[in-house]
Amino acid sequence: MDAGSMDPQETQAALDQLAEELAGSDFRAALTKDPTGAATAAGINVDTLPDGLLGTLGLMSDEELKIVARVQQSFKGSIGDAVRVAILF
Amino acid sequence: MSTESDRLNRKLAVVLPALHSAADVFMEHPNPRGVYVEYLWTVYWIVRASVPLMQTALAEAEKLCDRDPVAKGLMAYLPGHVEEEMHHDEWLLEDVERLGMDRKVVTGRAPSATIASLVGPQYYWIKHTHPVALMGYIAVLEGNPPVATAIDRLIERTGFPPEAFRTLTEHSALDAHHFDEFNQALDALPLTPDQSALVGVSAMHTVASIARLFDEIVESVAARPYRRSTSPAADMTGVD
Repeated sequence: MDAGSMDPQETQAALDQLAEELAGSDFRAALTKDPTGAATAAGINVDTLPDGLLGTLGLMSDEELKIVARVQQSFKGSIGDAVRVAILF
Repeated sequence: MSTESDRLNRKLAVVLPALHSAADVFMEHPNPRGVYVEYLWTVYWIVRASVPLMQTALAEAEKLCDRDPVAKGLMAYLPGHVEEEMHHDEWLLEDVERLGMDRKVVTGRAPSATIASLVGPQYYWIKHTHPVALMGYIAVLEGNPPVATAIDRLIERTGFPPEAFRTLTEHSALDAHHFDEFNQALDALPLTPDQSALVGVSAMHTVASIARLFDEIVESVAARPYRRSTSPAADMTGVD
């Protein structure tokens, strides 16, 4: 997941909007059929999203997308971030 | 064409930052001794369930294997992994004892609802959906091993003896190998789309639950100023 040389603030804004949209069942259904089309139709600037993120979300079932939405609600601002540090499990 | 393990790891990359973020806060907690002891308690109850979970999945797979190639594939992978994970709960208790504490500090305290909500759904999915669900859980636990630099930092911050970090140290060394084995096993399973999604749900639920556990560890330990107590028990009680 790499947003390349994009403005980090624009990327974050697009990620935040995407995370918000994921809470809606209609958006999730559209995403599984056409990830880029669904995101564009929702007004998300898809060019600023990390590479591959929409394609990965498009691989997911509705239940998987619901978990992504819940994780994002519980742990704000973390969707699609670059993997950074060690974890301990 | 991507493999099943590639697709699962791509899905996990979307949610793993939440876990890394929670682990960051854990690592920098102002009471590192307190959070490490709480961590040992938490991980004991998770690791305690690893072998029984796999044995349950094996028993269910055995019932299906005559007519289910995925179940048959699980029967080829899980016995070896059961062997690898056997007695790791004992390592945890030995780490506790190396801190000068009685193992009952850990075994005598019941697991939290959050720990149960991490492990419990696996039994449900194994029994009532398909034992392949457990592969999502294993993917997260084997795919995110402790990193040596993080362990070193925790040893330095706590001032505890390195011998009390055997569980972390051993997993740091072993899990990369285990994860390679896991990916090969997953890629050999002829999963249906529904089974692939079940593995994904299991894996992402596992990530969310572990992130919550890190939050709970951090929240449950008082943010006392860091000090190098001579008594590990004092770090739990706040009394030297």
